[in-house]
Amino acid sequence: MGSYIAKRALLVLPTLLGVLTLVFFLRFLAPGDPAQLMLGELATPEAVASLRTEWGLDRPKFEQYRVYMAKAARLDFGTSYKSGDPVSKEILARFPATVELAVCAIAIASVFGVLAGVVAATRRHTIAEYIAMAGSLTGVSMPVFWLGLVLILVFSVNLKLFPTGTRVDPRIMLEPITGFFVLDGLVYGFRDHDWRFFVSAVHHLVLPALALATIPLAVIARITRSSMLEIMGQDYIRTARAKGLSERVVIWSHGLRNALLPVITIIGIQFGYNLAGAVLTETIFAWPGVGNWLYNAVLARDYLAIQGGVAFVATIFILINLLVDVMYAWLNPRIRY
Amino acid sequence: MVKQRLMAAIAVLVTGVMALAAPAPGGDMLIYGKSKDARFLDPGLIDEGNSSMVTCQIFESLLRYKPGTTEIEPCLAESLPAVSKDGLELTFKLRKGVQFHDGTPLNADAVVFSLKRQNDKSHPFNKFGPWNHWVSKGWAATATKAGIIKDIVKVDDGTVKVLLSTPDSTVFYKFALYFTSIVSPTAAQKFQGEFRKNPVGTGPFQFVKWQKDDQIMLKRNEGYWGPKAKLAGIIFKVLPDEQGRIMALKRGEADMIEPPAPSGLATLEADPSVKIQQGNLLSIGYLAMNCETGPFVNKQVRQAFTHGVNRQEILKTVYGKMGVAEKLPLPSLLWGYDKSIPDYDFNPEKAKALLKAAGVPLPVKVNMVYYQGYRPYNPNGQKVAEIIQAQLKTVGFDVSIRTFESGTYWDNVNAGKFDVCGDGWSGEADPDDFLYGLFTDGVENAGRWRNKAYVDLVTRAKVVNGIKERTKLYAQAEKIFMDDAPVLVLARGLIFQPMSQRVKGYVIYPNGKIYLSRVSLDQ
Repeated sequence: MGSYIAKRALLVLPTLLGVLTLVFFLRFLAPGDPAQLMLGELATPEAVASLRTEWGLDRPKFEQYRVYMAKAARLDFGTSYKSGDPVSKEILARFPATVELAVCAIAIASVFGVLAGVVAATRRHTIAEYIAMAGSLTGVSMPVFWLGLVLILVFSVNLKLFPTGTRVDPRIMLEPITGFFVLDGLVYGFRDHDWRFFVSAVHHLVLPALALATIPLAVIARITRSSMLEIMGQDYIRTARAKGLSERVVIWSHGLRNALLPVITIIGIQFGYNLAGAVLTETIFAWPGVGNWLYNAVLARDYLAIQGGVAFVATIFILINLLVDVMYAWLNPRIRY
Repeated sequence: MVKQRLMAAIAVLVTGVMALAAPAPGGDMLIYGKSKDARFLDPGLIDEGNSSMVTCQIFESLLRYKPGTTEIEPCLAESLPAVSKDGLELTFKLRKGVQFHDGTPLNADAVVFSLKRQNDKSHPFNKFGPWNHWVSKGWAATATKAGIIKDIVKVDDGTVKVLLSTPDSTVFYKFALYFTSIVSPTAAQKFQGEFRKNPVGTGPFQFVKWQKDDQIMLKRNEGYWGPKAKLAGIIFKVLPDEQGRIMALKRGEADMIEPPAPSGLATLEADPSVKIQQGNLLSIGYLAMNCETGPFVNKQVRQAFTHGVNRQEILKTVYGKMGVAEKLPLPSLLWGYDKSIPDYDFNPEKAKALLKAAGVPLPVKVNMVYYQGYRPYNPNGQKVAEIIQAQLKTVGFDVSIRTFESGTYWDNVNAGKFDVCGDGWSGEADPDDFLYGLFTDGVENAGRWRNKAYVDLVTRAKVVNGIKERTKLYAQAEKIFMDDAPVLVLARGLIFQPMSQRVKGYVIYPNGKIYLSRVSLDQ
């Protein structure tokens, strides 16, 4: 097991190097001058040239690459052209918002996706299966952007059950502590007996998490169903039934446990996608996360922010995949590379 | 029994959620929903509305606009500046008893600091630029031209003198613009480069905190020198999606939002909890023709283009009630606008005749580019382009239309890679900002129209004293402009500011800036 993990871990660095190199050189294909964009339409050519020199954009490409990679090795991703703040600081300031949303969404997607998949697999040719599968097909077909607006229109504007967006009611004048608002709310609740922040944070999380959970839920449901159908046809399941075990134990203890292996991979990948920045969801719900920040960086040609953001996203993805592979190997000792 | 308990639990849950769902009582905190976060909060650095809407509450300049008008009145100066006989000195007497939010006094040193840091390369704060406004306004010297402002000097603690290298009547109104805001030198020296995120001014609101990409919070300045703000504070909330902003306003989670595109306004008009305040805007939308290369180097081709476009159709179809027809690149609200100059009529036959007289091969191939997104002076660049393309086909123009995302669009325009481009300007209350600013040197002259006689007239109009004399010169310049037809003027935009019915006392400023000190919220 140890050597397996070591082998997988060794692949992380070259993968990351490849991603950083690709992102660095891809930006030269994009039109637009970041210095011009930063200074705006009023800028004189002299001011633009001066800023390009200050940012090192007038140096040869490979020299820029060398400097960039040397800094990246020290986890220094430079300073955002737009804000003037270190890129790493910008990302870390926004990461808690993205994590909070992604964790909530994947939790919803996993629980209900697995449930739907099990129901669909064990109640074949019943209304339950048709509902589960039609629901998952609808979920995977709906654009998140559109779904988000519909949720807001129905549940916020018409039914007035949930807020339209952001992370917490701005009129609650409590400072965030960790940046994870649900956690911060718990701190305020237990320490100061003020539960407003916690309640508002959870309340604001519901709709965006639902919107973000829809596609992963649909995918997880379908994979769970396929996997369960395969498992439930196995001899040992027939043996378990023959031994007199209840159907509930057969399905949940014997069937699902083995069917979960591919599902875990999918959950990991979907979580990675969510963490990578659910740009559309963050935009619709005014959620100040990494995705929205990265999207604005692309529009502004904020190259250092883009490179740092992509490096960060790639790292998250690679680490999650590593974790999933390790879990896979732990759950199924037969798996070794 | 289980079913009944389940139903009861659901009812309790829904009731609880609905109780939570109502926005917390706002008191006197106004929430303004905007599309993007501010970039900086130092008024000398910014040149976009997302930042200026915040800094306009925190900072003040020596002069300001009278509420809702195009007239200038004193602000941090106690009176309008005295101008020397030779026009080379403006003397400002500062208002007494004004303090910055950090308790330090407003004095001549603060004024000199705030202005000189933007231009004097030896100033210790100059390195925290770039300070574009001095160059774009012609105040600073460039490689090819001397700057209009020679120096800014302290006469005594309560008096500042602005020395000009050449008389210039337009310097006056620029002391009402946000880039000339007076900042606290004490705070600037304390925060150094971080002052751009920790603003300290004299305004009716003071800075509390900035959560990036989320919100900026201001609170009432209790020590304000003028009438205290009625609001306890303002939260500028970032709501990137327009539909999201509209729904936040309808829901009561925002009290005011950025004016949306026309389709969004239609949604809000039907909502009884929302009202829409309409006002004039000093803005002009137009299409600039490339006068340097391509078919529009020829004046007759430009005139043919102008005669061949039915602008009334564009106004009706694209602008609706959002715009007012204009013929000159100067809003008709402003002095200096010559009503007597005849406009180009929609006359396809005349257009064809002009093309024939020009002797150009037909059809004339035109590469037209338009920018994406809504602007108050052009709600739909794509639609305008498509209508023009169809209209001009019958006249003898073969117009191809393209668009690019913003950064690339302006790169291409600045590089002259177009024959016709969509453009516009939201400006200040002086004809110079339009007639000189848009059609002389500088990147604003997208079409590269260089007419010496015109430039001479609008340059002289900067120097002469008095509106009467300047108006005469502008009238002559406008005649030249109309004859040369370097741009096709479309319309002047209007502001439609949506807000909750609770909002009272908001005044629309024609320069498009937002000032909230007079606003109150009904409970």
